[in-house]
Amino acid sequence: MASTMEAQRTAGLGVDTRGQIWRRILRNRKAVAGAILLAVIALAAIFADYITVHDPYTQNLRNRLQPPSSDHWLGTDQFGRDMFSRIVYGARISLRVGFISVGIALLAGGTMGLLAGYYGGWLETIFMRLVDILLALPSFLLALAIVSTLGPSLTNVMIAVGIAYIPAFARVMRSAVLAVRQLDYVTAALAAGASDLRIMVRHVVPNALNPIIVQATLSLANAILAAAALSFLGMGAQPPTPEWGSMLNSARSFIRTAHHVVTYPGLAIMITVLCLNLLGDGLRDALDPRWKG
Amino acid sequence: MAQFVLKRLLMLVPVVLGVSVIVFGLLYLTPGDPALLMLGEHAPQEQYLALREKLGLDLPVHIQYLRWLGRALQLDLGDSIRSSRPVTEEIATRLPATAELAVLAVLVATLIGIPAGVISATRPNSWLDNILTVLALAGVSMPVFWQGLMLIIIFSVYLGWLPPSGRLGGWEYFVLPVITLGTSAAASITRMTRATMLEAIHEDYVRTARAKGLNERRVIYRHALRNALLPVVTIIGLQFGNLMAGAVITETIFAWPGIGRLAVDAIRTRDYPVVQGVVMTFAVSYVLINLIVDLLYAYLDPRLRVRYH
Repeated sequence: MASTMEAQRTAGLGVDTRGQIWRRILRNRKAVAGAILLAVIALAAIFADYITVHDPYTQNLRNRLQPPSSDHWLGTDQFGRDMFSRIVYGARISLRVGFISVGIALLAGGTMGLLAGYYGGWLETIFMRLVDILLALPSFLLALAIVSTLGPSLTNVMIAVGIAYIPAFARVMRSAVLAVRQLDYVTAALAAGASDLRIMVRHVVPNALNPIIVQATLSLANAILAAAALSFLGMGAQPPTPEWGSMLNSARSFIRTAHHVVTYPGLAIMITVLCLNLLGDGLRDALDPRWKG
Repeated sequence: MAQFVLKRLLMLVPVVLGVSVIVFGLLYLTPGDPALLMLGEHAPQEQYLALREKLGLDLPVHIQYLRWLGRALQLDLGDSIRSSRPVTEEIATRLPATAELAVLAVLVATLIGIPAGVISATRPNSWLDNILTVLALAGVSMPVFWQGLMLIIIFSVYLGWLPPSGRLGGWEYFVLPVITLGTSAAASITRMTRATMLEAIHEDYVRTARAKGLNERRVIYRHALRNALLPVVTIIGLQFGNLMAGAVITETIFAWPGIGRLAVDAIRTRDYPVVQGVVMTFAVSYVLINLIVDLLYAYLDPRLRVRYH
C-alpha cells in the first residue's frame, strides 16, 4: 500500500481525502481570491439583465463617446451604447466561449489521452503522434489557421480554440492514466473481471481528475484570451455583439479621442483571466504540492 | 552528442510531414470549391478555371497534396492570389522584421524575467516578492492587443514620446512593439525562475555551498541558479511559440511589416497560398527552435545525452 501511495504521489495524484483537499484549497489565498472574483463575474454574467440599466445594443448617436458619468458608469462607445452594459453582457459571451472551447478540448483530448494511456500499443502511437503534430503549431496559430478556413464567427472560434487545446488535455490525461493504471486497485478490478469501460469510468478517470481540473482552469484562462484575440483580429464575434475583443477592435480608431472605449473592455478581459490564473495556480498548489507556481 | 542530434532531427520528419498534411488540408475543411472560396463568388470564369487548373483541383486529393508537398520541399509555396508574387518571396521579405522583433522580445524578457525570478525566490513572501509575483501574474493575464493599445495611448497619444506604429528605422520604433511582445514572456520566465529557484535553494548542494562559507551571491548565482536554469531554458523555448502568436497581434497593432501581419492580411483577403505558407513557416520555425532548446538542454544536462545512447 505504501508503494501505491508513493506511486500516486509521484503521479501528482492526491491520496488525501476529499475533506483534506478542500481544506487545502480553502487555505490557499490565491485559489480563494480567484474563486470569489470569478464568482462575482459569473453572477454578473448570469444576472446581466437585472444589474444593467441600459440595453447593450441600443444606439444613441447624439450621446457617443461620452466619458464615464453617473448615468453611464463606464461611458458610452462610438455609437452611444452604454459601455457598462456591453461589458457585463460581454462576460456572458467570454465565459460561454471559454467553457465551450475547453469542453471540446477536454472531451476530445481527455478521451484520446484516456484511451492512449489505458490501452497503449498502436492506439497510443497514433493518438500521441497526432498530438505531437498539433503541438508543432503554437495553439493560437492553430486556432487562427482553423478559423481562417471555417470563416469568422463566434461558433467557429469555439471550435478552433477547442481543437487547439486538445493536445494539452490528451497529454495530461495520458500521463495521469499511465500512473493510475499500474496501481493495485486497477489490477484488482481487472482480476475481479470488471470491463475496461467500467475500470476507466469508475477507477481510472476519478483518480486522474486532479491534474485535469488544474489544466482545465488554466486552459479556460488561455481560451478566453485566445478567443478575444481572434475577435480582435476580426475573425470571431462580429459587431454589434458585445464581445470584449470585438469591442476593442471596433473602438481602436478612437483611442486618441476617448480612451475609455479601449481601456475598460481590456480590463474586463484581464481581470477575468487573472481570476482564472489565480484559481488555477492555487488549485495546482493545493491539489499537488509538488508543483509550485 | 552527434547521435543525439541525428535522432532528434529524424524525429522531426514525421512531425513536419504531419503539419504539412494539416496545412494543406485546412483548405479542404470547408465544404465547397477552394478556387471559388479564394476568388469569391463573382470572379470571372477564366480566372476561376485558371486557378482550378493551377491548384490541380481536378486531380485526386492525395495527388494534389503530393504535388504541393513536392513543390514546398523545393521552397515553392505557390503564388499569392492578391499580389501574384511567389509566396516564398513574400515571406522572405517580411521574415527579418518578425525575427528581429521576436529575438529582441525574448532577449528583453530573459533579461528581466531571470533576475526578477531570482529576486523573488531569494526573498520569499517579502513585499518585493509579492509585488513581483502579482506583476508576473498580471503579465500573463494581460491580452497582448490591449496592452499594445494602452502603450500607444500612454506613450504616443498622451506623452508623445514614441511613434504609435511603423518601422522606419530608428530604435524608437522598436520600443513599444518589443515591450508589448515581451511582457508575457518576461512574466512566464519570472514565474518559472521563481519556482525552480525556490526548489534549488533547498537542495543539499546549496546547503553544502553555504556550509563551505561561500558568500551568498556565489551560492545563489553559481550553485542554485545554474541548476534552476534548466527548466527555464525550456520555458524560454516555449515562449517562442507564444511570441509567434503574439507577433500576429503585435504586428497588426503597430503596422509592423512582418509575417504575422502578412498572415492576418492574407486571411482577410482569403489569400490561401499565403496563409498556408505563413502557417508552415511558423510551424517549421517553432519545431526548429524547440529542437535547438532540446539540444541546449542536453548540452547543459549531460544525463539527458546519456539516456539517448
